[in-house]
Amino acid sequence: MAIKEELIGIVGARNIFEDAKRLKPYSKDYSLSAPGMPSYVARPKNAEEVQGIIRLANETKLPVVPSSSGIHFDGNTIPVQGGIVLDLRRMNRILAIDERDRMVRVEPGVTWEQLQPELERHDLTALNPLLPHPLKSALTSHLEREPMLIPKFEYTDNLINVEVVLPGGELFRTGSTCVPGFPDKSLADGVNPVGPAIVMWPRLLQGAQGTMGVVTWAQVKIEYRPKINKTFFIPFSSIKDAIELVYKVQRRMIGEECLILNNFNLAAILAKQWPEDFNDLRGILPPWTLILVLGGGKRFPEERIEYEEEALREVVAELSIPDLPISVPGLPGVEREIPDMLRSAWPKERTYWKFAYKGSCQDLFFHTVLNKAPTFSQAIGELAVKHDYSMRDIGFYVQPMVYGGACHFECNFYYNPGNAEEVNRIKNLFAEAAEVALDRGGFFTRPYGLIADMVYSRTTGYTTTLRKVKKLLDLNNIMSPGRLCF
Amino acid sequence: MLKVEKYRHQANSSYNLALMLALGLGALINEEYRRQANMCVRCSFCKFIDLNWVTSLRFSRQCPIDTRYAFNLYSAHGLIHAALAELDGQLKFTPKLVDALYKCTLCGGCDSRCKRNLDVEVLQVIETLKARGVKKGNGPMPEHKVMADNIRKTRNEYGAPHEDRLKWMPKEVKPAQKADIVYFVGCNSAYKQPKLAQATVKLLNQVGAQFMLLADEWCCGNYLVSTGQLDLAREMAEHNIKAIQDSGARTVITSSGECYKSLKVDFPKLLGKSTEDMPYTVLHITEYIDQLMKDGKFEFKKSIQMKVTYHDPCNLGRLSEPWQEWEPKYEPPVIPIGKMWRRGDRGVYDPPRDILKGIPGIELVEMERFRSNAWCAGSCGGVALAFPDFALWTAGERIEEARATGAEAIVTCSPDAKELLAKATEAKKIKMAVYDITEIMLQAM
Amino acid sequence: MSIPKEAYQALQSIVGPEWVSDDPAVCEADRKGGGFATGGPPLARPACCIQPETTEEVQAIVKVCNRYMLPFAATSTYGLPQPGSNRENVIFMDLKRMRKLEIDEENMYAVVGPGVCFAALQGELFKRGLVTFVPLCGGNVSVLANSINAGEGATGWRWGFKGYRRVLAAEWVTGDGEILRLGSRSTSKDFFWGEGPGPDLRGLMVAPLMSSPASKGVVTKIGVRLFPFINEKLVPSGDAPITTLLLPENRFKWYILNFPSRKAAIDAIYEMGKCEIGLLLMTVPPWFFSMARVRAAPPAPTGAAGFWDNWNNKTGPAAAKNQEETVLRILLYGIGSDKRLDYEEKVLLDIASEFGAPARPTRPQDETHFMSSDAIVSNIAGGRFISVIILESLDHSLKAADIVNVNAKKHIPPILEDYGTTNWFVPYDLAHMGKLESLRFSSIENQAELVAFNQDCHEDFLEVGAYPAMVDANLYGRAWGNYPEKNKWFKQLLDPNDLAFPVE
Repeated sequence: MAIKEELIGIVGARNIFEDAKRLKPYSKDYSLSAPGMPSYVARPKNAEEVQGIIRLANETKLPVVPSSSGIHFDGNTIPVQGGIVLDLRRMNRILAIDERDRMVRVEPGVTWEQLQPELERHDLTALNPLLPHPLKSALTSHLEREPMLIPKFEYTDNLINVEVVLPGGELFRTGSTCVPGFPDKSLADGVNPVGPAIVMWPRLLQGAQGTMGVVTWAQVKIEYRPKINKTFFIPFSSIKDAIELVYKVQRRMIGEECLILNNFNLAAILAKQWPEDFNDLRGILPPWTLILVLGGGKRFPEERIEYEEEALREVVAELSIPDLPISVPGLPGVEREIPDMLRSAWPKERTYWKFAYKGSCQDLFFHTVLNKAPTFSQAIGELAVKHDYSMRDIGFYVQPMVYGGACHFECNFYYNPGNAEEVNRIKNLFAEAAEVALDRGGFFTRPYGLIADMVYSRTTGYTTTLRKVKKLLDLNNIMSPGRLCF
Repeated sequence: MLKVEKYRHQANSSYNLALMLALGLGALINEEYRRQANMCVRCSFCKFIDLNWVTSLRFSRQCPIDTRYAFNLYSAHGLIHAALAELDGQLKFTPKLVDALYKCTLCGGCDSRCKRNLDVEVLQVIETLKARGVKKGNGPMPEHKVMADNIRKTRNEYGAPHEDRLKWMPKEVKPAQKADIVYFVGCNSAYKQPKLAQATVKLLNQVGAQFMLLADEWCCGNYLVSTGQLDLAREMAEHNIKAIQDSGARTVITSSGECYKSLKVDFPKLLGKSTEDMPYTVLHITEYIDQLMKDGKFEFKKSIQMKVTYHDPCNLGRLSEPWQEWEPKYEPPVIPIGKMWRRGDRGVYDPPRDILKGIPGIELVEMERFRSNAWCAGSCGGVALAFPDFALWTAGERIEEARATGAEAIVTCSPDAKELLAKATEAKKIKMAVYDITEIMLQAM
Repeated sequence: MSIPKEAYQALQSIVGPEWVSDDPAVCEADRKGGGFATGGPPLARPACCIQPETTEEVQAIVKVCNRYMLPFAATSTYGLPQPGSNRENVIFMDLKRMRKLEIDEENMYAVVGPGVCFAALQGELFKRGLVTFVPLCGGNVSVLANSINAGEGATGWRWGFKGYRRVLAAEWVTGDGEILRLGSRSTSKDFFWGEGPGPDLRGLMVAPLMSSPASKGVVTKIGVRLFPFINEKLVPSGDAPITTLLLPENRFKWYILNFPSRKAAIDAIYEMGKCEIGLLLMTVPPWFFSMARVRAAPPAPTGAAGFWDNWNNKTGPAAAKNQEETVLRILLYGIGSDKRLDYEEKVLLDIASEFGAPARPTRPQDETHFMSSDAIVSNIAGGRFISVIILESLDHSLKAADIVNVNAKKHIPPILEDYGTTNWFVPYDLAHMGKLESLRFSSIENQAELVAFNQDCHEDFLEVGAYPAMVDANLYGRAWGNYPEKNKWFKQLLDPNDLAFPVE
């Protein structure tokens, strides 16, 4: 039987695309990656259908590229060698909210826009990255280890367990979800990520960019969502000073969300009217702002905020920081919006904040330690000048992690995707900035596109082993071939 | 079976039962030895000081052989498991086993640490293993045999003339003909560091204590016991006890940590008795002086401006707790009946410290490993005789630890430890004075 | 059995003759197995023992093993009698010499070799206003080995379930002698981050606790996450055997709460998780109070006598009359603010009142959670014990406790009397997870009965879809995604000659 017929047999005719017009959106995304056309797009509804497609792919050696979100920034859903794109957006159920164990089970098609409001009704929140696109898959954010905004909740991986169709077609459940009868007829609640036995499976699947299987649901941690909050916007002229405060604040375990933005990014996030608000804000915002949200506890919330604020003021006094503003100049009242904003997806009705300036944005991000962040921002700034890119147009975002033990360092290069020359300049800048970051010890824990080539050429032992694992799980190399180092 | 009963009657103690293994009496008598060794759960607590007292990586370890040497055999944990295998005929006394056994200073640190949580008689197992080895011709070391020979012939470790044992006595001090107190000198103070014996008698004189000397003091036999040469050790014990009894003294004072332990612990042990059965009470000179201080009968007048640290000698510290003769009897499941525990907390720790604190001008700072956690200086167990390099290394570790306190001097209550610590300061070229506490006390008079 | 002379010479040339020995006594002392928990049969006496000092030496040793097809095993601080191997000709690596410790104070992580134990690390950290998690099995165990393997303790309430998030980058010599560098160490010399690049191979870097046939090599260095702590000192106090750490009273406060039922206690724990109070908490079975009598001050009976006297005559019978009552201990934590402790106390008392649990403060000291100095004490009761463990949610643990209690009754005697209440619950990750540990004692002679009891529990667990720890692959394997098969894949991948910790 022809492949198309087989696919129709699995998912139904309405859920298979083959014509170029319908395939085209899957051939590219918002990254600088080269486009690549799939041969088919299939839209399964459940794990069984996914299994059917994977088995077919193994028989026919056709690549499979999973895609859960309606929007992508890193190139990892663009087929490099043709094949079937698995559009998982029909699998969009929130399967369970476990308030007691603070865990939610979601299918890949569940977006941040869908998830957070549902959780908020239970006074809960998932640990989202910074202002995710509303169409972004919450599950994928966890799979791709996108950094959370609240450093204190990193006691364990916030992705707990998954159900996955392995590249060979087997349906496998990780950790304590593997018990027979899960979830309805077992004692297990699926909250232990270890095992079965001696492998921590979710870790092999995280950061895999679809190369190790198709996750059909995931259990992720959720936390209590404070109802009362107090937000501080602490201005700094140098990132070094901001970091000094972060170290001390985190050592005292103060606060919920804690992040540093430069004035470009903060302006982009806060501007409602473009370009007027943005330009105004860029003019008045300090070079760097530390946003720190104090969250009231579930009981006696005001008292928790009170003692945390007092502790914060002690630290600020120690460092002779003159100001502890609770608002942004020119935007009275924004402090009331910020906590909800930081716990939500970007509003659907507004242009995504990364697109509003010039239409697109290329992100360069890696992990480092906080006290090295200033050297990176300086080095990248200097590089930008070399590539004729204005430093004023770079967005910086520094996300402290694990009580300030490390940070996600991100710079955003905004560009007009319709301007070929600008695109080219950004490509060159991006490539060179990545090399510089790598040379200076920046760690690309999530290497996408050309960065993957750079990283894996340096990590010979890791690369070799990863390839062996891949070969073990995916004998026919059907899952997202050409990604990472495969 | 009859043979067993005969020896059981003679042995009449857990320690002696185990030691009687040397006579190869089989499984029945091995029962207590096996029981104790089996209780080891292989946790390796014996290798570290009490964990609540750990304040650094550098000084966290308790056991000298474990710290210095490579293998698990060089630890109580390893020796106990070798003991079980040897008991079951699965292991002979190999060169490394003998090496580990004789490098073990028997300082008792492992025993005390194990008893933080379990009550395994770790030291007794090791001592028994050593004794079994001696019986089978594996030990003691040649140097220990020379020492034993010296003791046999001249009643002191060094082979020096027995008649010179009291030659150190200063003219100005006149011991009493008859007194309730007898001063037991010890070989090192008598022959190698006479100024310590002199300081002791001068101290006793100055505080107005009436004391005698034994007419015929023999070596206390401390190193005979620790090297498994028990028959000769018993001879020393019997002689010295008789000498004390004949003197009429009821109190024995010594300034040697080694002799203290021998008189208080080894003598009754060797004879199948308890400390309380002995016809005398043993006091260290510091206990005696300290009691006088606390009774208000004495105080130090002269000031010594010095920052010092104190080294707890093993023999005066955790090894010096009273000995109890105990027949192994258990209630189910494993409850020993009537046993008095020796866990290392009832050693002579406070009197030396209270004395140092009582001397004007002295600032006492503690090392990280002190009291029952004290690191052995390397002079115990006969190790310094047979393995001088290792003993010096051990003492060197202690000097490093002392240096880390910022102290100008280290004070101790063991002539042997003092000697070795002083050598270590030279070897390491560390400027630190090493004193016996009698010297400090005399200076402060 | 001896190994080829050439192999021994090769090993000598790697580390020097002083650090390798085939003396039977040396090898016997390094034979694993026995002791601890149910004892179990001793594993094989190694053919030789070797002490490397660097990752490269470990690699060279493993390559020699692969050349001559010699199995190998390793230990770090030898705090547990497992794992090992029951094959002949085992080359046993004692990693004690690998004791390097570097601390990055500002970024709160340490780089440790296998020979660094928790207590030593903790001692260094207290001087720096930092703290590390310490497991309940003892502060003397290796930071590295425990973190990649178990890593469980009550401070997991705040600092994470098991070692997984605490382990950062790593160096790992695989079973076939390659050096695998994970996390940030893969592209630089830093150990500050563990994930990636890309898929996280630390998912495979799990050492077996009880010699499972799945070990894939020897991990020789890891970065380990540290945590912020107070500036005030925890003061050691007491002399053996009664020692403790005195806690500064402006920063810590212990509370005991007596819940009328297990369910009420579990419900309250969930609430405490949402309220984010406490540094650690766990329920305390009645026999813990008897165990504390092991180190009572004389003239009270001490040691095993102290335990049994109290357990059989006082605590046990009292507990038997009210088997539902559940005692919880929580350590409130005033880090970062002088008022935080008051706040936590207020929240705690509010919760206690809501769930009907009288609450009272207790002595501000600790022997268990900062240095874990009283681990192993359970063995004093009888000589052997076994723990049945559920590692999942608190609700799951609650339900599983009934299964365990029913099975225990079938084996008492000769298992020693439990008065129906020897379970305890340890929540992790602010109640995202929880553990049931259910411990029973026996004499050494009757330890086989403990094994039978354990087996009964597991058969029941399998039927009801429970998720216990330390499972028998033969029993659970097929039901749980056929995982033994998958274990073999990865084993073969990284240890193709099956030489690392092999157990038949």
